[in-house]
Amino acid sequence: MAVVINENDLVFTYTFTVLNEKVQQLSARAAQAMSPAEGVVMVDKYAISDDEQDTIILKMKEAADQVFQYFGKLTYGITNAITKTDSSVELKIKKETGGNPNAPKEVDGVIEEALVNYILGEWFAIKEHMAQAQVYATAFNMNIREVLRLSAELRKPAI
Amino acid sequence: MMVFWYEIKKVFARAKYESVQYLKEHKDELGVSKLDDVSMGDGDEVFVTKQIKEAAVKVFGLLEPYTHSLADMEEPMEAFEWDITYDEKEHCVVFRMIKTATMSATILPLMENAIENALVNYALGKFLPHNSIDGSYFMAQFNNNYEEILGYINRRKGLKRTYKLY
Repeated sequence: MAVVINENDLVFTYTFTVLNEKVQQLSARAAQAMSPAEGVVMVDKYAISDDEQDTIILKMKEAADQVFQYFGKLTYGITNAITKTDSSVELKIKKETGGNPNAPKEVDGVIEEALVNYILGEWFAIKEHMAQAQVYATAFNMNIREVLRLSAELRKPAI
Repeated sequence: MMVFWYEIKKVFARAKYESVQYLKEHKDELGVSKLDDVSMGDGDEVFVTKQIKEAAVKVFGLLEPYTHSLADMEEPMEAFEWDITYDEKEHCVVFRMIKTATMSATILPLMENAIENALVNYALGKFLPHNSIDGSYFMAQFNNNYEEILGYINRRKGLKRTYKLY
């Protein structure tokens, strides 16, 4: 996760490498904790591996759309505010002159968490483990609320 | 003469800020704030500026009875000017009025504050309904400001009581 604070804008960047590592680790952890079917722990079935990279890239881009849409008003006047490639997703927003200087770092952390939770929610839905998918969907929803709460801090213009 | 002037961009910035503060607690059926969907953004500046002008004209209507002799001054002055450069600041709205001999000079900060609030509240009251949000709170605030302005310009120091009753 990274946020670069420029004079007039803020740039949030999330690389596939970092997101992939997190979802791999967390999905393996969740799979390990699931009740074993036929006496076998289902890590192989549910844990995300390197073989699933294409799906994770696809879902990373989808997650970016889902999260970045809540910053629409702050992208006014910025060309190509959202950039999505196979290796990263990036959001550029306007920097309000009176905004809370500590907010960008907090927003950065929450965006990353939201991206991870979205990917995991989708992953477990694909794998038809709806209970686990719901856990991440709820966490994602909480992240979005947090994003909106914090983004109010970014929007305080100088009066 | 009394002069009240405001930078239009700053009035807009304050309205924008207040819309964010108000809307961050407005949630949809899933409990997600409507902040980004309906708050005032830079893209709304043209529309909101029109509302600020409408409010400014309404405020000017209150001050207008005290502006008639501005035209008879040595250097005739406009009572109401929109989007001009004033005191080296661009895009200002300016209100001028004659200060009568019995008018209290201490009303200046009160008037200044009430006029700015009126401009901001009116802009919000008109903007929010376009986004399906009830703007009546801000319109009620505007009406309060309007009455405040009327009250302030009608204060006269000649009527001030100089003794205490108790």
